Amino acid sequence: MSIPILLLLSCLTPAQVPSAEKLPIQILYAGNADTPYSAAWEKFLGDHAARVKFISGNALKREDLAGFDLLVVDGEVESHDAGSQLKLKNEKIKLTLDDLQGFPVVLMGGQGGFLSDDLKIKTSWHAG
Amino acid sequence: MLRPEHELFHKPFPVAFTIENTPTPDNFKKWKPTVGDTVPTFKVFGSYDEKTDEPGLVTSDMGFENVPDAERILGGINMKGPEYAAIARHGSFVMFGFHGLPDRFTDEGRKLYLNTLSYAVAHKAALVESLRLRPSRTDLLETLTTFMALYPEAEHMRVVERGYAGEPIPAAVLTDPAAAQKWYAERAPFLHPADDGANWSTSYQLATDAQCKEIGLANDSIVFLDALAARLAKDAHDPLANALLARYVPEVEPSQFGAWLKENRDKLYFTETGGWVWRVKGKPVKSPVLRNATPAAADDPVTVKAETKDTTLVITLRVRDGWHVYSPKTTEGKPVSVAIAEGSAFEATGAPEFEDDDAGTLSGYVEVKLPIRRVAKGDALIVDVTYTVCDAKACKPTKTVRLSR
Repeated sequence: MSIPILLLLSCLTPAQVPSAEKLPIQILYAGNADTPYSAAWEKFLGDHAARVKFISGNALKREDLAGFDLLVVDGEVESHDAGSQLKLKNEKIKLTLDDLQGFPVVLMGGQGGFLSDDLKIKTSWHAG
Repeated sequence: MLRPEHELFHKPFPVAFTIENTPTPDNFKKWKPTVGDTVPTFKVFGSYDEKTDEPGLVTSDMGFENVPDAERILGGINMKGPEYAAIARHGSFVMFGFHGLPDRFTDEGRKLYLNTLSYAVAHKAALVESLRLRPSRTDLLETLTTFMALYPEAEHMRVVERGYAGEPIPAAVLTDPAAAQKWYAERAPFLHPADDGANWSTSYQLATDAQCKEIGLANDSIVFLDALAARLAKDAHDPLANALLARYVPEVEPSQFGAWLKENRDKLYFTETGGWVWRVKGKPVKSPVLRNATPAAADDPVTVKAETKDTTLVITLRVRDGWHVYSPKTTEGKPVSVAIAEGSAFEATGAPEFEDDDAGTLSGYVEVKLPIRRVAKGDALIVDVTYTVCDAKACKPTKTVRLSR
């Protein structure tokens, strides 16, 4: 009897989530290409959304948003040295505020902050 | 800052977080001495290693004053202050400042994140109506009441001067809190940025607007607009009213101001961080950053950007190492030129200004400032930037980049 119980427990690892946590939305995930970090987030979003597609942030164009409900902007920063300026691994996203006005966007971490700075919106590092 | 009643904690997945009372960080107490000994928190990620994990992002409360398009939802332990937000919304943009790998989410953190995605989608078509461009009155007040004290006494004058210009600052303002409050209160209704923000070193300075003071009414009060309308009704050429209108309501023609005020009275708001202007609720702000639609080759040594300030168009050229462009001082090559194209609502009022050396050679980060003024309704702006880029051996063909909005 102990074996089935162990198997059951191993199937309920913390990484798994109830299937009910699924959003009926299509997500374009703009991050750093070919990094374990972005791959982990792409998989996570895929588990929780109807569709997810990855695009490198520096390649993002306005027309890429067509067919998606949400743009998620994410990315790691390069420098961890205390007191040093944060540097992105990839070039910043080039879209302007006019390109993104009214389109749902989630801005995550450092990359989200840098895009906010460029757009001059209130979720920025700037003056913060 | 935690708003448990906010729908972000309830829809579509209820976030059953357990509040912990975390000792207040020292930096919170510096920013806001009245903060309590603990702050309510819950874990979004199960683990965080500050040596290897990247920091997240918090944004200041600056610009979240009484504007219709932005809200702060959740703070967090951070290196700034207790009013900073880790989750905030501006128009259809929702910031999730926490950073980490998704397999480190706590159960409540995961649900909070998924709700954040859903919340952003629910704000499709929500507009960014004002930006974070300029300092606010609160910044100057906080400089006097809080931030100045964080610096050595010998630096207090410099700290205050970084936030205020145009007249000598009495010594008592630095030493006597009551005198500082009185000095601020006398100026607060008439404060305005000292310049248009094109100069980085002075862009955070406020000054007393002598023309606003002459009217005698606070520039963020509706009676101030009423006074301007009354003066214009009496004399359409009233120089004081026209000057103040151009400064505080730049998008409205003086001849139409009275009717505009009557029509929009209940929808008006004044934004300081958005440029110290009156705006009508529900109207999107135009991007100050122009779009570069000119294809760039992968090996192009120059990247061109342009951004508008109130009366200045700032062009930046990032020139790759080993390459250079020219200013008008050059005797060697064709200088960078900037032209405002037909169809724009603005015109140049002077020649481009370069920060150049005597040889007129420009490399690295190159900034060109063109004074501009509005000549038509709307925000259309089309700019052609022409440059020739050279290295030590040769020049590439002259190129024109068009930027527009």
